[in-house]
Amino acid sequence: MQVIFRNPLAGPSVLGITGGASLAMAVIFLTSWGMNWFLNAGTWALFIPAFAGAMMVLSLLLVIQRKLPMASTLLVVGLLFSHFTGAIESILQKMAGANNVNQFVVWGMGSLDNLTLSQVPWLFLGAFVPFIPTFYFLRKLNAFAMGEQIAATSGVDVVKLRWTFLISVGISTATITAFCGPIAFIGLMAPHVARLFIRSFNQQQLIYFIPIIGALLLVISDLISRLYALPLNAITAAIGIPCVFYIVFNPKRSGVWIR
Amino acid sequence: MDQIVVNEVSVVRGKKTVLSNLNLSFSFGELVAIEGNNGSGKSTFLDALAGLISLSEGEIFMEGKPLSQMSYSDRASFISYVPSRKTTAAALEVTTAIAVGDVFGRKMSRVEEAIQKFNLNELQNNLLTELSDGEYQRVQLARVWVQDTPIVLLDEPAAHLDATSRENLFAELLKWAKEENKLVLLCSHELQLNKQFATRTLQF
Repeated sequence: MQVIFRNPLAGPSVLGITGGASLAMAVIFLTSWGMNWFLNAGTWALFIPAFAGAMMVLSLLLVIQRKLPMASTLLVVGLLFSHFTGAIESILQKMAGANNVNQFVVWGMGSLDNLTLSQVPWLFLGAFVPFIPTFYFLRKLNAFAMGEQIAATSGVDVVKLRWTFLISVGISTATITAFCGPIAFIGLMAPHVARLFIRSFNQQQLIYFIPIIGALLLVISDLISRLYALPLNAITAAIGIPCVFYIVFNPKRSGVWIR
Repeated sequence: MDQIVVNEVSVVRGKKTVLSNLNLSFSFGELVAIEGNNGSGKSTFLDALAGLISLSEGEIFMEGKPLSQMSYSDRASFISYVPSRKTTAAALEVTTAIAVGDVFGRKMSRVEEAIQKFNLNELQNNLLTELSDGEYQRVQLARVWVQDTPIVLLDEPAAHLDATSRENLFAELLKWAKEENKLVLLCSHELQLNKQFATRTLQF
């Protein structure tokens, strides 16, 4: 995502994509219509609204990104999306019954506790399988990092590359948000931590390490959250925020991407 | 024989006509400098030649083939492009950036050669964001040299360079045109150097 949006601070939660999925989940948990649908359709069906919400925000970001003068402005747009989806969620919470609100708030803290073994194959399918088509573009990701003009004149089908990655990100964000709640900062941190370990900016090498580092960060955060009985998102934020500061104060080492 | 023909090309952006009914032709072996004030449409013309924007009217032909009907990879075998620095800055190692000239992985030995040829040995592990303007431009030249296309487009490549680097750059580009029989087209405000090195200048 940081390459596609050419922004070292891009991540599903920062850009409001998790927010889009989260809003869709609010509609399910907090409205009687949504709850009825969910009870009839089963847990796995949560993916559908989450995917619709995530893709809605992703598509809007893509349209808006092309009109922005500076890459950093995209983060402000992501923040606005998050606030907007948050505002609608709070309206829905105000109108919903106490039980539903409780269920939604607990889900919103992010947790791996409620995952059952039968859900794991679905989670794997949704989180990893969508990235298989992106391997076709591995060699071309570095060209994309240098800018769309260079990528397109180097022979990269930039439109196909962008949409392949965005749909993959949409599916995996939606799956994880549906099953585990909105978990912030892992997507933002993983590429930077992976870079520190393998000491390379070559996307072809990084792409194999980023999922491993992301998974490790999540497991470590989950372990701490269970040990101290704290919400998972509080732990990911505690690790993630210093990481954001590192990126902001080391722009040359973390990637300054201008348009 | 004219290998590149620009036939009645117009580009309209919003309500503004940026290029109007342009008819031009170019041959390999030329170093063409495009001059003109800011906003005169020089960069738009390069973007059109690179196939990066769609034309409002007209067509560009590369050895008889219409550019608009060529795939990304077909175009990349004809044209390489160095945009002006303000539009590109990525945290990538120099070697990785040079290898972008070979996205299909067919000319790996050329990447090594390019590092030697453009004297980038000591910089190969540096990031693009850490380079001076002159070094950055050398990396870009190395990248398009790896891509090895008959047409090379450069948008204000001499901007921000010191006098010696500017002259070296123009000399190198003229060598590409003459010795490697390429068509090199560049936008340039360096009127003196354009006059000294370019085989043709165009006014926009």
